[in-house]
Amino acid sequence: MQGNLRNAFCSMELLAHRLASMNALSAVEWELLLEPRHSSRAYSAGSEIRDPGGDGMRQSLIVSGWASREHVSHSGRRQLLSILLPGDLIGDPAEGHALDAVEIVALSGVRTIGTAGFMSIVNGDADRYSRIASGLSALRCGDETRLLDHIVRLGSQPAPQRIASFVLELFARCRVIGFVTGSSFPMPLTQEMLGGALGLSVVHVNRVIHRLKADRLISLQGGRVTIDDAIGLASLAELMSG
Amino acid sequence: MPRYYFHVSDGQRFDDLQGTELPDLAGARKEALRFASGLLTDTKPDLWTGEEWTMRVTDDTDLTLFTLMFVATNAAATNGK
Repeated sequence: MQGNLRNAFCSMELLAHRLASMNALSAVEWELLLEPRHSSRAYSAGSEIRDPGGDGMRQSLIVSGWASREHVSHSGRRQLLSILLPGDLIGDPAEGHALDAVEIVALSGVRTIGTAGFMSIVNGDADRYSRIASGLSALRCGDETRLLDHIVRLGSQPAPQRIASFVLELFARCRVIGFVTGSSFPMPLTQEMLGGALGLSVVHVNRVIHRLKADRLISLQGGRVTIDDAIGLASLAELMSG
Repeated sequence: MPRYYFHVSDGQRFDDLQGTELPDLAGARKEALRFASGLLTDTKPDLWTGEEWTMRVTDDTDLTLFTLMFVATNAAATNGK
């Protein structure tokens, strides 16, 4: 379902934070990234994010909301391949990268802005925007690395470790974009979505989360996860990997 | 959609207080097998020491709809190893 194009002030601030966490950006690069963008597209939860192109939005950036790359089987079962957060880029399927050809679905209300013009500027002046360019390349590598980690998670890890490592991954990603307060971060994922992402039945997710809460490793309230015992959670993830 | 509850006893008791909405009984059976498969994969080897593994699936009136039970029995040839 195509989103609604709206005029609303948006910026690439979260992407800028992600890039700056890897390389110190120059003043010119900050200026480009923080330039106000006035055209954005809004998607409701459950709708497919598939920008039609022609308006510079085939490549886009999520500025708010969560989405997922998904595979839907003939039987209707959804396998979430990766979670996309604010500050994550959606590439142009026409460029041939497998990750960009996968269906992307909004898990919550999502707003995107087009990045084709931005990419064109960066690619057109490699010297001036060298740190942005290298950062974008690193972000793509990060996407692929996370996908490989996810394959390992699905293929060889028991449920408690899958959930523990997934929570820690989301925590780390939210911290980079400034979404962590204390030791808590927003997680607008239902247990069904977690099950879809982690290859577990909903009741299995429910049971493991129940145990993690009982063991005082995490707590959940109002769509936020609080990591109450980071060392314990990390130990659980690592101890069970053998 | 009806809500089904998956109560598990596998050395520790897990009462499913939340339940899961599923289209019908066939969906509940399918979910039960998927859940059981995941749990049995994760579980400590209590099953091999004679611990009975049970999943009781109920509706929202606590009426038992079906039960899955797994018991591992070692043959004498293993000499209790």
